[in-house]
Amino acid sequence: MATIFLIDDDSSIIALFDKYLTILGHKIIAKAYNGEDAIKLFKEFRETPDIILMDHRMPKKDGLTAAKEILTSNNNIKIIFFSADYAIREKALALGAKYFLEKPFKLDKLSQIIDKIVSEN
Amino acid sequence: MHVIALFGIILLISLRVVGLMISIEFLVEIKGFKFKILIIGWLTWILAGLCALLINNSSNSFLSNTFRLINGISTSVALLLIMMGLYSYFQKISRKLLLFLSVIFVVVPLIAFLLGFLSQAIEIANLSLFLIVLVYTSLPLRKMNIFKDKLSFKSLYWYLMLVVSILIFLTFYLISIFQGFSFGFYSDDFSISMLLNYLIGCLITLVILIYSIHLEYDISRTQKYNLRDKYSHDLGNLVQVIYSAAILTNVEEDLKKEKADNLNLIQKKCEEAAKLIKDIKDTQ
Repeated sequence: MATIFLIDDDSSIIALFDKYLTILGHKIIAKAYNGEDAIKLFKEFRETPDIILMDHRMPKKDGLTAAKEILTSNNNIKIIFFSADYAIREKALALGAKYFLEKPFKLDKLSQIIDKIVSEN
Repeated sequence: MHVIALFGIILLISLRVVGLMISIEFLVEIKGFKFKILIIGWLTWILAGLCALLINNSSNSFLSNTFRLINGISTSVALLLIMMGLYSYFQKISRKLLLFLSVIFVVVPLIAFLLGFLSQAIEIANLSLFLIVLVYTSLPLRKMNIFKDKLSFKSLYWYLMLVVSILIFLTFYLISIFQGFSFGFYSDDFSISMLLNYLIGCLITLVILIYSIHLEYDISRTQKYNLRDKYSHDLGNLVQVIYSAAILTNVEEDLKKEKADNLNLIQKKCEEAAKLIKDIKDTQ
């Protein structure tokens, strides 16, 4: 089981991922709909989540900027980027993101990656 | 008029006609205020060339001086319009400023001419021309990020070519004026200055033409890529939602075979849509 922080500006995606990951036994500890709120929430966490699921194109602050700030405050955090912008894949991985998933992707692919990270920990 | 001057002017007019035709083509295909400015600019520049042809062909000195004045004024107004038209790729230009400068460029030399100061009137027109060319050639230097983000290396290369050729021309022109050649470019006697004047003039017109085509090509390409990225991104999000919802419904409920088949069909079609989106993204 992993604790997960979900970040995406699309509320439908957040709701569906929340449902799916909860069925798989993971715990969604927080949700954010833009990069700025994500950073704010992350700084307020008492317990750091095991995994952050992060989109890129978001209002206020994009995923790359938010990930950079989050990784600056905690470089052990495992970030899984998921975006329809394949062009940012290299940037996201270079920044320190653990995985990159190109939207649209199969949900079992996401669960496999989460399981892999959990087993590594 | 010496044959070099005659052919030089005819060549310049021909290049300006090409510029006019390109701008008309862009206006018809793409629309946009900048093309209207460029069309008026090229037309005014053609008028300047036609007046230059008539300067020495008129026996009447008043007519000759009038053509000389119209040549000076229309050249400065034409370059104002063309340079501002090209600069509008970098920043929205003020129509009021454009109109104000155009009126000033016409009225001030005209008043000087009517008061009997012909050479001063031409000098004012030339000074306006130098100023506007210097200002609008150097302004894109402040917007180098636009070359990087929206345009290409080729546009930057042609922009730098324009800067260099205009600097060469201005230096050459100033030296010529100080040597008393300001009206010598239309005379019957051959001079190296005359040859250089038309050579550099043709070179600049050619560079402006190529640069304007590159600017439009780059902007169109950037807009096309942005649209492609936006639609593939938004479609990717939509398909992700449909796909995830279909999988979740299948996971959550114990569905009858018919409904389960329908959900499997949705999933299959989402996978095909995902492949199509990837193809769109890979399109150059």
